[in-house]
Amino acid sequence: MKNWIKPNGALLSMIVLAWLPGRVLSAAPPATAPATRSETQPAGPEVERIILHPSATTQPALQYKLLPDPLDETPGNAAMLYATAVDLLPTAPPGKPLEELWERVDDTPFVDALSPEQLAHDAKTEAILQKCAEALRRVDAAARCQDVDWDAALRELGFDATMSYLNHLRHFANILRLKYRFQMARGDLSGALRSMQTSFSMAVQLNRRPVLVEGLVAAGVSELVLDRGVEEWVGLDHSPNLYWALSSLPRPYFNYPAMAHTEQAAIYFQFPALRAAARGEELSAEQWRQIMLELMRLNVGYEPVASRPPDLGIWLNQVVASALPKSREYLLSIGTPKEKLPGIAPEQAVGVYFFHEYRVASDEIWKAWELPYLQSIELMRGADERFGAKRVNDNPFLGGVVWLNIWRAKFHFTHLDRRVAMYRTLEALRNHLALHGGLPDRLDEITDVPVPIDPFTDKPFSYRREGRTAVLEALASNVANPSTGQRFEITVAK
Amino acid sequence: MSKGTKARTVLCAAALVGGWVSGHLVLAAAPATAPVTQPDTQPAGPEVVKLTLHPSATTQPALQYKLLPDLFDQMPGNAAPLYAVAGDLLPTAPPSGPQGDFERIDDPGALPLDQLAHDKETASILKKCAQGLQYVDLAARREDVDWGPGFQQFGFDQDHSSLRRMWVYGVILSLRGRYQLARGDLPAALHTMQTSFSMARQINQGRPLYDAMAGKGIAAGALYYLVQEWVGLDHSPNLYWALSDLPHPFLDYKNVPRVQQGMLYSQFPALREAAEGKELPAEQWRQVIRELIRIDEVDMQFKPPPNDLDKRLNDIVTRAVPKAREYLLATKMLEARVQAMPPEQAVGIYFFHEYQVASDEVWKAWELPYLQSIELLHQADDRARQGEKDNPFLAVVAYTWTAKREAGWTDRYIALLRTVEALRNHLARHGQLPERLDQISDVPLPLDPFTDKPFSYRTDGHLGTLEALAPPGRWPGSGWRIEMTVAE
Repeated sequence: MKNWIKPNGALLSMIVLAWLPGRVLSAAPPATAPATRSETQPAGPEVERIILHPSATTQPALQYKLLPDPLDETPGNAAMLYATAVDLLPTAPPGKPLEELWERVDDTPFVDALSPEQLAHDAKTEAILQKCAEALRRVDAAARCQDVDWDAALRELGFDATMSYLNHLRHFANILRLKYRFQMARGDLSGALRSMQTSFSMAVQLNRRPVLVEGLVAAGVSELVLDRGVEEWVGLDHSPNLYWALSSLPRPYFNYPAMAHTEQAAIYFQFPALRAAARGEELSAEQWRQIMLELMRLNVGYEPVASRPPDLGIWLNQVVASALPKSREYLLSIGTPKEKLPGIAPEQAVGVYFFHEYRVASDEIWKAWELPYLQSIELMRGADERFGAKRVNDNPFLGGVVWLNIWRAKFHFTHLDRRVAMYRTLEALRNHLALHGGLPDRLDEITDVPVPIDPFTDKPFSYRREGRTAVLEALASNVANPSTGQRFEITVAK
Repeated sequence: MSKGTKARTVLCAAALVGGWVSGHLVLAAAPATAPVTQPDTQPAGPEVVKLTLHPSATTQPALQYKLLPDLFDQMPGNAAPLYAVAGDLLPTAPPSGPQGDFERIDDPGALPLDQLAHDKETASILKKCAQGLQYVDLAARREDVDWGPGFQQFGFDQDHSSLRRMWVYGVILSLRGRYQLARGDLPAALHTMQTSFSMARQINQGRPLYDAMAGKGIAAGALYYLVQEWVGLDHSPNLYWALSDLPHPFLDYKNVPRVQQGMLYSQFPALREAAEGKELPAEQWRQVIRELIRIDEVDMQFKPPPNDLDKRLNDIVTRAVPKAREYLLATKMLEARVQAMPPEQAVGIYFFHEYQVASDEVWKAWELPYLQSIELLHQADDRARQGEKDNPFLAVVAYTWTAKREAGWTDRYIALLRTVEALRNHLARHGQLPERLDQISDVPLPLDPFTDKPFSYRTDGHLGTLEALAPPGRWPGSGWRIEMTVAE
């Protein structure tokens, strides 16, 4: 059976990132988030070279949009059209995998290695797009639906929910990348813009009421179209300026409150009895035992085989025995009379204690979620270091399936905001070129349009002129390795 | 292209099902083309079902056992996305490997209950399908279902893969329900029946006829494999009131005509203007007719579009020009104008007019009771089928009489099983089978919806026979005979 994406914790980012394009992978901080650079990491920021042609902002300003025009929207639930589109993707005849096709679509280096000139005449790419045409028709229509209701039954199934549509969107994002690049290579800018709108809309639709993993996939889809679509567009001669199109993307781009609410509720979806426990009602020893057993079942995949006995019941007994002294200490600390302790079953004492620990930890990592990046990231990271991803032996409520590295998610989301801000700055420079005949010496010389600041630092990007070239730079975040910085080496077209 | 068949909406669901569900269910579903004569391979008489009747009085409270989920078991929301996830979770057979588990799924009734209870293969299938079935159970308990705007936007260019996956789940549910019955887990089996019946009704909502008819197949599976099996069990609670409580008609085709008739206009928006009396240019008519020939070819015969579309188009237009001009003159159009009109335009207008007439004919009696409507629908269908070789528009006129008959089949089988449950109730209260059905006075007896008369019944005291014969002139195998033996 396929590995469908699930709303699980620790592996979540890895699952999502496994298929995102190279640049996103390199931008992501490593899982363990070392503060110092490892030997295998690049020494500095990722360098991209771009040739800028003069291009003034358009009139009307929003003539080119990166999200579908509301006038193009139709009623209905987009999710069902995406589901139909999947069925229309080409599949291999029995025994003959369509390796050639999917390699071309999914193999980032291969596809991206093709120059626009090569791509414009690439028969294989054209054949792939033709085979995917019916599916892409549905995707195009889905991206222009007024409503979307994914409904993975998270309320009923909790961590057991399956979000197979996220796997499908991966395919669509990659095929669309091929499509808008092909369209741009052939000079079909309006076609490419429509394809980019479709991609952005997919991401926005994922953001309606997302859980964290949906937000991360939305970030991946958006980053792909920014780096493979918008960047290529910005570097084209005669391409209309997208400054205002980028500026009119939704802000905040991600639905932070929805992600926080759903993620914090997930454990209560999985174990409705915990709602009563959170209200101070007593659960029976058997109820606590069942909850902990279920958590261990869910966490099995996250635990090294050597660290646990094969039988969940025996494992739980070991965990309970080991945590019992601390649990009794905790019960005493909250005013339980000492003489009552022997009457409280071990599973009940340990369950109450573990759940309390979980609630404290969960609140610690989420409390700063809505704050600006700079204010929140250290708090969240600190909480993660104190409580994060414990072994099930320590507390199954804090095992890998439940625990979320949300500070890493916040990093990814802010990283996307920064990409948008950088492309806006590049477009501001193209506009300056068109209106004033040359690049500015400093960014604050740009007065025709507002110049964005770096959301990681809340300061302007670093910028310097070097003759006909210039360097636009975004430094690595304070919590990430230096390779998460980005540098555009800009050359003005002759 | 995809595994999905882009089958034309006028196809009957049973044809689709027949491709991958064998055995009793196909018999129960009746053949797609509903031949009026009996082919050599088909049984000479009605399908015979043998049941052992154990006394079982109707329950108190009467609706203690229900065949559709209770409202308080339902959650707000749309079932369709959940079915989509379930579809993704359906285990697939290896591309070139043996069918393996899927052979068992092909016929959920293959094993008798005593063998099924210990069948490891069935247990393994159900384990593999458990995650998907969890989604199906949840979907069947959502308050709403909205299959999305695909039918409105893409006309006849539909892919039916998702429908087929739902169908497979319908069959797997039958297997699960029988397995639960075999193991004596009646509450679980009832839960499965509720899922099946709810799914059968949800499939119908807002879909074209072809898809809506799939609901009949799922309901048929639940009735045949589960309710009937339940009824034959010792100590099984009586489902008389549960069956009586099912909506009537069970399959709600209310929106089907609206969706079905809208599909042509979704596919060819220009025809909306033509329907309002506006003129379309010859080239537009040419494109529409050409596309209709393509749809008919590709979808009916599951092959790539023919290379000679233009030649066929020209042949069809050439053949139809004289009749088309006759029609235009009959509408009081000036002869000079008729003669000057390009052939494609004249033929397009004529074909479209014929389509409008034929479409209204097949739908006008749709809402009438079965007995009043079925012959009218049949005649209209026949006329449309006869004309479709000459007029490609007529190939997309729906097979409404087949659909009506299939929908009627479900209601008929429900009525038949209600009668059996009335007999079990009679047995419990009076110690024996009645000599005649009109002796049953404890519960109201249903009529056969095909005849509006009571079912045929006879008994010798120990054996009882209940019959629902095929309607006159129809395939005898589409009738039923239930032979009941009173348990010792």
